[in-house]
Amino acid sequence: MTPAWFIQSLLNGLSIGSVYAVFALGYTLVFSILGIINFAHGAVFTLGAYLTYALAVGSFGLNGLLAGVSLPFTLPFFPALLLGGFLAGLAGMAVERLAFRPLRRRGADALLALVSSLGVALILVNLIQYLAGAEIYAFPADVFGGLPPAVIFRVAGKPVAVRTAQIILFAVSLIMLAGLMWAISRTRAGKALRAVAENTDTAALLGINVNLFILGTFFLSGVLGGMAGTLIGTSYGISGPYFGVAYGLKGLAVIVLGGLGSIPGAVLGGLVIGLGEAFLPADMSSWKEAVPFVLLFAVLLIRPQGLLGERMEQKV
Amino acid sequence: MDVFFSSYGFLLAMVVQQALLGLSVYYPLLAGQLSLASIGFYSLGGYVAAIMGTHPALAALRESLGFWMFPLEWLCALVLSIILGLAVGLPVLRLRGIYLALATIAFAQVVNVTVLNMPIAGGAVGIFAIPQAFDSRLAYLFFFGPLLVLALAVAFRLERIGPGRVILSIREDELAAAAMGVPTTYYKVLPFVWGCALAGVTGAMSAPFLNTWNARQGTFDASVACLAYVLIGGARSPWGPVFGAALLVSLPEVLRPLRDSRMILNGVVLVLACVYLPRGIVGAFSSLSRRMRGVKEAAS
Amino acid sequence: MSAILSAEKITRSFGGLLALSDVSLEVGEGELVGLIGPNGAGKTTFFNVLTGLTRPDAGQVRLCGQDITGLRPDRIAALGLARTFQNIRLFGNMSLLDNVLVAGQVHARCGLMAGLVGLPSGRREERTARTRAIELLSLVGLADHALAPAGSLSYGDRRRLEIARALALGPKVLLLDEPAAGMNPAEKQGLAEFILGIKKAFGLAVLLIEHHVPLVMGICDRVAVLDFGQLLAVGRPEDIRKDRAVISAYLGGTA
Repeated sequence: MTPAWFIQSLLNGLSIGSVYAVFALGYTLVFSILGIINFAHGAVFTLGAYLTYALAVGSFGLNGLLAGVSLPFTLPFFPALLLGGFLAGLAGMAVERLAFRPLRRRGADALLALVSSLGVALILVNLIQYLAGAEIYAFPADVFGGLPPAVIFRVAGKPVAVRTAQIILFAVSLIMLAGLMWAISRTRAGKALRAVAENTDTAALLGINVNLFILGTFFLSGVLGGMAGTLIGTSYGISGPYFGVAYGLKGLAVIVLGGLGSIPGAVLGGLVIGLGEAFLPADMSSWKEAVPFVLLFAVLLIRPQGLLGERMEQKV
Repeated sequence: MDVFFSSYGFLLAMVVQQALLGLSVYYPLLAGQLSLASIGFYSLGGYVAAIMGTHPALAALRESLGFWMFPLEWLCALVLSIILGLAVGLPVLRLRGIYLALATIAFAQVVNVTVLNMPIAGGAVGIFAIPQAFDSRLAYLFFFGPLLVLALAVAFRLERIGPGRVILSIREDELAAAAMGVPTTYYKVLPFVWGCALAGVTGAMSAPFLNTWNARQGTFDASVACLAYVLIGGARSPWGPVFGAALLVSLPEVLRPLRDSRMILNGVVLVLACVYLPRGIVGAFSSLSRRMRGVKEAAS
Repeated sequence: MSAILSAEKITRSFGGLLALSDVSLEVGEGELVGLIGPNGAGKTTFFNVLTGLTRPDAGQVRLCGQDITGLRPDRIAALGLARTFQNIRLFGNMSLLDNVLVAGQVHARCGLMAGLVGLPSGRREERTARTRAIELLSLVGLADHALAPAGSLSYGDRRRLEIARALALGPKVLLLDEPAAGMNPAEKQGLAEFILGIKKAFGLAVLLIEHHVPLVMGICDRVAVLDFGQLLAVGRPEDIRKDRAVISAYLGGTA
């Protein structure tokens, strides 16, 4: 364990962990309001990555229905990221309208929302496959314009490389996290959001349009998911329409680790899992995918409410 | 008829096989416990059978046992599933609601990564050329059929006996059940482990049925499918997972002419079923028949 | 008089809020004790501590001399401490009969296998259990609806079913949490007589939480008063009526 390895792992972990946090917050927002996990979140993540790719690169690969089609324009990376996030937010709203609201109006079993959201995820993922094919999409090397691909410095004589993509991942995530924290604690909308999360019925009595708020929450959740998808896509490539499934599950591990419904918990959980993966010794790298779930399991056994979650007293 | 069975035999056996997986989710749900661990046990059971069926070290044993090798595989899968089911269930079933579902998802994921890392399980390629028990796929109904009958019989029998009622009372109100003298942990672990065992044995039967076995058998999508069978079919009757599996397994076949867009429609059906059949197919049928009876009584 | 149920110096707080502070109370064999106090006084928390749903921070609960503090709720119930809930907790989708049978299951001797396979011993036990459950249902006047789902009952009937279910445990002590809530005066009178009846018939000790003071004063052997987690007074109804602390804290103008 050299100092260089330590610094390298730390930077890798913080960078990926911050994106996990952004993505997981999308789950947390919906969970804190509805008490339900939106299993279409991973699909929105995938969709965001594809949309940004389309906007930034302008073409759709070789195998899907849209093969050979190209957009009349392309955007620089950051506008594409924002627009892709916005469109993913709209997809998040669609998820709410299709999978959640009809069940809520019928007062259906909460388990059904799990299946209906997975149904919507199935629709989204296969729609992507139908249109864009099952192939791998990699953002071109010059996607960030003239920026160099990596920054290299030395620690105790050994090189440490930080890719530009990782820096952008970290910076964008931090901005989003800070912005979200600010919005929730300081703005009127944020306060109303917390009121709805506290108690939907009371919030409705206070004159808050609860359905609109839920829709807004899904939009925000979709933006977070879609932008996280883009960020991970730019760094690691988009491995196909099922790209989001693994991250969707990892996101669940993040929110359970931090404490369901806790916003600081999601951030902490994201960083813990990112760092946990990064610090895994190289000869155990094939176990990397198990790290989030082993951590999740351990936390559930030791502290079921998660690292920052509140212990729930059952009411009699 | 021959043509029908040769082309649809695989499908028919598949429906029964998937119905078994649906039932393995149905059992813990009787006690109100949503477990998505089934697919992990299914995957492990399959690996047990695949390894026992192909590993060179066991060639002599296979030689001497002949067809009886298959029941031995089931037995090993059963024992492994029960031990592992207890090890997972006892700590995890203290958790309520969505936590249990998430913990079981995590379990299935860990199983997946573990088998990928075990040289004996063949890595990403998995294990192939697993010896067949029968010449036709349809004949595997001799494996799956009796197991399904057993699983259904137990499910129906449970509704009529004391321990079964106790299990149901936990789904209704766990706290009140405890206050009425029900050892809730025991009665939550019981159907959970029974579900694990069912999934494990189904996996052991499926390895020869599918001929190859790899980590793709244990994906998250597959565990969701098992849950969907139960909820779409109806979570309040043992027939639910059977009807659910029949619908959802045959749907992609029926939609095959639509080719690439069929999986999209599959998702649409899932969403529509959740919205319009909140109590599942069985629930919809029973309320329909109640209404019909009401109409008849009103007429007479 | 020997105490069948005794709580000694029970203390419990929730996040800094002291719900119970040094509460000691004994219930004697065949005794009917009333527990009164304003909302939030800690009455239900006291029940939860007794039945093992809430762990006390300090103190000890004894049933027939045996220390039951910290035992699992189902163990406590099986030892003979049964209860009802303030906000009625029945198994709503199950039939009345099944509700009672679930509680009766603590007496079952045949295992799961005997039931699954349908052994004669299991069948005999099932028959006995059913007969007993029907008896209990007729006791509360609900035998005619034995196969209806519990959720379909009226409010008053639910309360009665909950009592029948608790009795199926074959308890030594019965804890009733506001059984008369939401009843009209005539129903309350009927309930009072019913409680006295089952107490006698089953040789029960009863601890009763009730807001309706006349009902409590009318039927209880002794009355305990809780206020802000403190036990203000315990004594015969006529003494409680005269107790200054009780009058100022709770009975107020009505005494």
